[in-house]
Amino acid sequence: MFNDERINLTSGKIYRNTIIFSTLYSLFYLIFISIYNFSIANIINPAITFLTGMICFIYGECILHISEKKDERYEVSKSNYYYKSFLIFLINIFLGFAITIAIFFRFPSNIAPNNYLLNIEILNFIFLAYQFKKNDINFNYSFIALDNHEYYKCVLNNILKILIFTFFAYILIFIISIFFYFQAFITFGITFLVAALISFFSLAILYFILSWIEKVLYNEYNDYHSYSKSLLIIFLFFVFFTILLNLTNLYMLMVSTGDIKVEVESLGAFISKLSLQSNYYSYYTNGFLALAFCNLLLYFKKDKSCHLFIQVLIFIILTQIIYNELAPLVLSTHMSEQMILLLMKIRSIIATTLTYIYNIFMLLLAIFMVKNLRFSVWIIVYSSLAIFVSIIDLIDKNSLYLIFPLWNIISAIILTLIMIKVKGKISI
Amino acid sequence: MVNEKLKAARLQMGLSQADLAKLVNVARQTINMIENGDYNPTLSLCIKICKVLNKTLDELFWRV
Repeated sequence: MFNDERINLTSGKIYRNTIIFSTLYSLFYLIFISIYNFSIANIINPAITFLTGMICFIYGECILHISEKKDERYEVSKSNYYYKSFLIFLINIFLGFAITIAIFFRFPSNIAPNNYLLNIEILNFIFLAYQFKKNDINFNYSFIALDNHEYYKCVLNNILKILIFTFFAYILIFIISIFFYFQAFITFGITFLVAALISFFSLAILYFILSWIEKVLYNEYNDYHSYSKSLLIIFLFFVFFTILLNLTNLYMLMVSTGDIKVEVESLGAFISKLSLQSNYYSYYTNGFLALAFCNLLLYFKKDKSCHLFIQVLIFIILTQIIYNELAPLVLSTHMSEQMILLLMKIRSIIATTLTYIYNIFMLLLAIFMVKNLRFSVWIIVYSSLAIFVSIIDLIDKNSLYLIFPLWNIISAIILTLIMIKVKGKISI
Repeated sequence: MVNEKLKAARLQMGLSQADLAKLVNVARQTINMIENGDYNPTLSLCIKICKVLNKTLDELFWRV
């Protein structure tokens, strides 16, 4: 294990930027949810995130700035401060989720209690992955250089820490909430246990997959290879979630149009359950795609055009996630039908524009990457299909309901074939 | 500015970037960045590198 001064200083800055990014996002979320969909359960977690972020930032920038001497030591203590702040920030987000569960039980809302948690988790993850790769820092950097056996021992050790943290956070909130829900003790206890297990497993599995990918990537450094194993793993997850996402969306569409008959008590509840599922798949699809782009950055350190296109693509993915989260909040059942239709039309135009911008930059990246690729013929296939689908989309939107999911799955597979055969080596 | 003197001293000792990184307890990317002039190390890290490579600070890091 090592203690690298460059990494310590840079990661301090990265954590600071992540706190600012999350605080700003939680502020926007708070404003949107307060105006359009106010409920205590909906605002508690973003409010906790916002307050913690503000306190951490104000203390770090103002009080540290006034009290410390301005030399190397100041930079070191600021970096240490932001590292600790980030840990507290993360802990508070999870505590916020636990409190949301407790409140949700008494005051249910139409938004799932873990919606905000998943959203901020994936946004933070993409933002951190991008910043770390941009600054040449490996995830799990303090023990990445150890051999595989020792490395995975440290990973499991960290998973144990996650388990202990989840256990104590939930026990604390459970003890506080038990006084409010004494009459419904068993139901509340089971709900709470399920929430705790979801928190632990979602975090532990995600952490393990990331650690695995990072170790494979680390072993690829300075090594000429026929294909990138780390990119292959990431793209396999991406393809898997793309298939799940598009099949769920297609099924949801066919159920809602009546093409598929289902025997359920409430069709509305069934569709909203599917929509929630689709939302989760969409988070993971975007997350893995963004991670793939972050890793691709390592191959194009000196190629400014590719670097720029990849950065733009990551930015578009982040915008899409934020947009997909905030846009539905605007629609309220209290609005007139005309207003809802108008807002849905605007939503659809913005979403299509984002998709077009994404496709343009994807094509530009593929074209500029051509010298680094072995399967350049796939770029022609990918480009032709992208143009073909866009033309059909412009001519007749209704005919796309079958073509679009199919195109998404095929394009994900082609993208995988193009990217994993990226030529050259990641230089350190 | 690329630090050729550091690279030469490291190669003279028969060390790879990863070996040197391990000996001075930093990531191998950090050694690469110092050699490429992308990172300006602190005095304590410079001293550690000098001790491992058996050189003085002037020999490795002094620039006119």
